[in-house]
Amino acid sequence: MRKVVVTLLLPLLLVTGGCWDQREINDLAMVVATAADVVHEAGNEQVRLTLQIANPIALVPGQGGGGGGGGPGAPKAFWTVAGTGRTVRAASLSIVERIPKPIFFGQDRLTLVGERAARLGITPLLDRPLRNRETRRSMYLAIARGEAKRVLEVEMPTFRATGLAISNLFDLEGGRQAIMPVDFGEFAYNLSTGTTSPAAPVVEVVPQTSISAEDRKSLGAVPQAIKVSRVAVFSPGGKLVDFFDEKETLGLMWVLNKIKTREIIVPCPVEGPVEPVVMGLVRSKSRIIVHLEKNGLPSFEVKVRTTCDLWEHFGTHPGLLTPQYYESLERRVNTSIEREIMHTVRKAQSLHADVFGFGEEVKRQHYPEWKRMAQDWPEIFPVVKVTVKAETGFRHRGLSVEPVTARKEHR
Amino acid sequence: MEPGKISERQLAFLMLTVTISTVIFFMPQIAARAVEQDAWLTSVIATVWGLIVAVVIVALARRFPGQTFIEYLPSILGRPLGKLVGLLYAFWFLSVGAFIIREFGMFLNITIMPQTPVMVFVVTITALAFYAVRSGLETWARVNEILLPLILLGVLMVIFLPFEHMDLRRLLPVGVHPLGTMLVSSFTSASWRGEVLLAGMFIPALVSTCHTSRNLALVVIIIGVILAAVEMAVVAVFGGVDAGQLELPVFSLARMISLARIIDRLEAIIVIMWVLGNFIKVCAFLYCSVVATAQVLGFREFQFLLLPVTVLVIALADNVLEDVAEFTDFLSNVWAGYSLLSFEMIVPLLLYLLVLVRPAEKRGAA
Repeated sequence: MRKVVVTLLLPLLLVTGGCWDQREINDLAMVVATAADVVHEAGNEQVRLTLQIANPIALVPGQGGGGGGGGPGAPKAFWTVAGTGRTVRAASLSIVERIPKPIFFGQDRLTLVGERAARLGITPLLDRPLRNRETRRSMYLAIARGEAKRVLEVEMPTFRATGLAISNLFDLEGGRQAIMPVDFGEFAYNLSTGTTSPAAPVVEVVPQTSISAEDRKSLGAVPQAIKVSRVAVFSPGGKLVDFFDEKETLGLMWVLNKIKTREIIVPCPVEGPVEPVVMGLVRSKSRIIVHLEKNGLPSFEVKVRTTCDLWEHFGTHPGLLTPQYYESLERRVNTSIEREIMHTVRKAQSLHADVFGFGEEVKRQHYPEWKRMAQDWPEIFPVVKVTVKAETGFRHRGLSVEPVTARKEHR
Repeated sequence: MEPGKISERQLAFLMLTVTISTVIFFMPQIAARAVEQDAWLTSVIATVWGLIVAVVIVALARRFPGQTFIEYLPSILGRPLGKLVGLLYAFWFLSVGAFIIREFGMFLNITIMPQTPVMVFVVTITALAFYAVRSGLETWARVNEILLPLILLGVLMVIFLPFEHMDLRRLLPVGVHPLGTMLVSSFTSASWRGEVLLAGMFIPALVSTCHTSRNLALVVIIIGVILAAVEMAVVAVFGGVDAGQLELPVFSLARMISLARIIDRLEAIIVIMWVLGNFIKVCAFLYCSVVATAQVLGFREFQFLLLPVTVLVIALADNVLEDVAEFTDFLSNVWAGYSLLSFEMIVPLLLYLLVLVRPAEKRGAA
């Protein structure tokens, strides 16, 4: 009897192998990056969504396709599809008709928004990714100079899918120089405050520079590459106002504590600007202190504490031995930081864009007064007094003391 | 009536599971919508109301040893009124049980299984709870002893692991919202805490009762601390305003966890926690409504009522609060009045006052 039962149960093993709701990775169209543009089409404004979909077989160069740009027969690492519709979802539904696999947004690392769409207002474009249960708030957000679609269509020599390349850049290089990664969570938080102007990094398509003349001849057109630098500044209501240049972005990153590492080039205390010294930032921490003035307006004191190493001394003179030299360097670094931040403050004030979250700080530190001025904050922000105080601590000068030629002058 | 016996620790664990398993899901949204970054303060204030419920329910039980809440109602209020109130309580257990089951299905629909009909979740969890309750109080109280540590571990992970995304300055300024708004919000928060009222149905099954009031007070305080921590974490990650715009802030919080790209995509933990906690909670409410019904109607046994009540609760769950907007609206506007400010705190408090005022009559009736 038992044998009979066991025999009858055995075929059940055949159906225990899988999960009912399984979705195999090869069966999915895995979106790694999304680009949203707003285009004028058929008489009205339409959302054009471009999806960069990874090809799992050829995601990594050197595998399957066999390195480089791949021969004509090699599988492409990714493909882009675009669709238009009245809303973001409508646009992605129009793509469904042309893709043989279900679209999966769970690995979407980056959303790009085109310049025009950002100027018209970014909030409606953010609703779908924030509401959907596949996409994540830790997804990066970036603004494309011009059309966002073009960025995703660039084929990179190294990391062939631009979406992955940009998100990797943010992961690894975020906080270096003017690369300021911003994710959905942070952008949404700033929008939710109603007073802070959100900022998002800018991506643009540039001609590739590492191409020799012969290559250019054989390739025909100049291959394109992408560049991530600087930020786009939005109004508190989510409309793109203006772009910060590199210097302004760096100033902003001090205040937002976004800088991980960077160099600060200061004139040498002995020889002046002809022999610049490169100071390397190890860490920095800023905070904003709000004071209330007699006239009822707040004033802001931005305090930045940094630790620096000496990275490079571009010169020949001696004198790097004494503590006084470094005290002087510290003062120069302080001045440089203070100037950078003040530069950005003036720009932000001229744009009426509180990118630093000064309003939030008033709310946190002086709530009763904030309630009085919250309504008029866009008018108050441009006239508030801001002071910056930087305090730099020097740590070490690397593996050398002075330039190799320095001792000769003492002989 | 209840043949099984449970220990004091089992009761405390049971009450912990019952009170924590649903509050941390919608409550942060409701609190943040009302008082933004002060959300955590409301759960601190709510501890006071929770403590009142816990102390009163144990004090009442001490006056009537060996009797459940439903059994001593007639002794305090007189037979007709006592039976009527008992019936209301039986319905309260039933309806809240139905809300929980429905909420469970809705949560799974929102988060991981959008296509599955809600009745699949409703029927499966109720069938499971039916099986557990039929196996006896001792059985599922012990199951809960195993599940609670897992549930708490899940909650703690969700509180601490998104630390990379936290900015504690978002909790400032503290306590700037009007006291009235915070009190109203604390009533909602305490409505879940007030479910320690269910202890009134379990106290007769206890082996000993020396530490019951201390234990229940601790339960209320522990939940208060956990809930405050959850709400602080939510506000630190999303900010006070944005937290109120999230349907399930804790689920969104779990989605933020990404430690060195290794510990990643942990929201499944939240779902498991939710399923386990809800299972025990449904058991508790199902058990209470069955026992209460039997006792109001004067039956000596309650097992035979289990099947009809289970069917009834499924039917009810199918028909209440059919969409999420109705549900959050109910939770933020009605729930406090339906639970804390009537069944959970005010009625037991009045009963206790009556007992204090008329001690002689109580003895006579008992």
